[in-house]
Amino acid sequence: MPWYAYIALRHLFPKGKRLPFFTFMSVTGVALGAMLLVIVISVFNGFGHELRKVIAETSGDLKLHNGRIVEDYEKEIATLLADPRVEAAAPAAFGFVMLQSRRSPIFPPVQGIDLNEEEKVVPIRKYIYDGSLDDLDDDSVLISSGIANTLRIRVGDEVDIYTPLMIEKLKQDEILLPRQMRVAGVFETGFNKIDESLVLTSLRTMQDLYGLGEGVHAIKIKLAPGIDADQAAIDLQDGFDPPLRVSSWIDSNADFLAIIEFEKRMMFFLLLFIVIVGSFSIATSLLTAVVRKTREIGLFAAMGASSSQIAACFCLQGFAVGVVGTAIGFVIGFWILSMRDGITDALFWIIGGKEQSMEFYFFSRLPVHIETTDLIVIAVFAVVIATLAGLVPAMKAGRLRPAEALRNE
Amino acid sequence: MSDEPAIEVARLAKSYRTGAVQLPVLQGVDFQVAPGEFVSIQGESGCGKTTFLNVIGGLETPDSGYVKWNGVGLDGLNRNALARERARFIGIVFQSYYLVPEIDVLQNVLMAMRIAQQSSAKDSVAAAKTMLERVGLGDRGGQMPATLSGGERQRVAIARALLTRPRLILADEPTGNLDERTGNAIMDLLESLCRETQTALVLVTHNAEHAARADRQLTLTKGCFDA
Repeated sequence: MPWYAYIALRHLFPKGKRLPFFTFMSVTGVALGAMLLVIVISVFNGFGHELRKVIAETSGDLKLHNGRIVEDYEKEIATLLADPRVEAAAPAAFGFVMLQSRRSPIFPPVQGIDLNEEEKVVPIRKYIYDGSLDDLDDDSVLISSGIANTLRIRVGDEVDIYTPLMIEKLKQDEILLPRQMRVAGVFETGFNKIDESLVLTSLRTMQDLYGLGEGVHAIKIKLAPGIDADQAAIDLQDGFDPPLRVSSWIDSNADFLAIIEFEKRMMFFLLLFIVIVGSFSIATSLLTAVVRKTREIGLFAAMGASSSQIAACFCLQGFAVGVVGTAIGFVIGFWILSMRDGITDALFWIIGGKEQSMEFYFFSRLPVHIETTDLIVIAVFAVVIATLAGLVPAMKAGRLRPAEALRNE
Repeated sequence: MSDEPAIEVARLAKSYRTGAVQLPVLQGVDFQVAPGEFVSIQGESGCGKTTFLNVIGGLETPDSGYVKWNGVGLDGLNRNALARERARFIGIVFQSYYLVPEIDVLQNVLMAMRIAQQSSAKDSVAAAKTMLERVGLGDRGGQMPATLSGGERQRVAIARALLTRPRLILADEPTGNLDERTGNAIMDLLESLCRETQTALVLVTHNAEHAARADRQLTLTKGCFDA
């Protein structure tokens, strides 16, 4: 080990002595910053990760569509199923309807699903908490919990459905008659965007309501476990000519995920200030050390140390504080994340509102996902900031003239 | 060993500015020390002894004149090159020892060799231990400087200065902080080690007895050596 690195370590952690106050405070500052960054960024990652999982589970991993109507969808499904990465595929049609119950109208999105194939892609049965999937036929709908709550609809109630096609017919002076449909079940997926407002009906009903003939709007694709959806979308695209396009459901919810990503970056930026504040403590402490150890600096110079070596000795102290502080921050951060259930329970016990919070955030426990890339970014930022904090004192030390330093009282 | 003088100084001048006044400290000093020679320098307090030592040790730049170490002129050397040459040629012993308090005695002795990058870590440690034996502190290597007496600390400083086998030792009142008996013991040690290793020694001292041990005694008065 070069002498200046050795001296830097010994200044921070002197042999046979208590940890100096400067070392303790500087390391604590960096550790707090790194710890908070790890916790907050991992929780944000957890939200994003859980959302992706929920989106993939409730919508399938990929979809094949052409932006209009896929006419010969059975042929396309056969092509998809020939690929070993594709576990299942189900046709679907999408649109919006006006749903009216007791003169209260709402305008939810509607989805027509193949009653035989849908379950292979989306575990819809497990989301139905009232009614039954088996009761869904061409004259009935499944409604999301949000619609059921808003319109106070129960299983067995009748609702009126109006489609854009009916309004087109109204323009041609035809009498507008809604399609009366029975509520066969109420579902809740845990994904707020879906649960707030979605109507499911049979594919045949949807084709009829939207005048699709035998066509569908898209084919939902479920991939075999462990297959990367983004890469599979690129590979599967080779089997289809434009305008048919294979895309990820994540893409369709990109705006939602982008908000989480944006919030994560903002939190990273804000929490980084804790590390920056900590670095000021490093800078002031090291400046004090340079003044306190002026004679020692003079001694090193008298023994033949170069200015850059003396500067490196103090700069390395900032670096070492950064490394040790980051490591401690990571360890405490991981520990707190592993104890998060107990911590959140204790917090909710004190402030209350656990049920409401869980309902709002739709996760039963605080989600956490640790990304190696994020950890590397946090570590690099923390260590670089701490090292930069040591730079000014280091330059001051390097510029000291040996004789003046030795004369210092 | 080279026949070049360990140090050669000619027409050396140095002055300090205090406010508007330019205060001359060294005024055209000529000085030379042969390899292995022991030279003592005496003079009144404030006559410029330490300044002279700093200038010939390359710690301060002269206003005029030149300094050569083993025939190598210091003119034109930048700060880092000068530091490298100093690590090779010069060992300095200070009145206040200047040991690093955060590291043990062995590491303090090793520090000069580590800075000079003279030999491998294993060889350095062995040499440092031997040197500590020579100064009578063979069993104190693991102790921290704070646990040593003043005389012991100065022994450590002497071991540190000699470990790199310099051509010249500059000793600035090395016994100034010690009682007479300890001071004499330190001088015995320093002189014997220097003579044994053929290292030139320039000793600045107020102690006439210590000065009298030298091969040559000089007195600095008004910025020049008395004839």
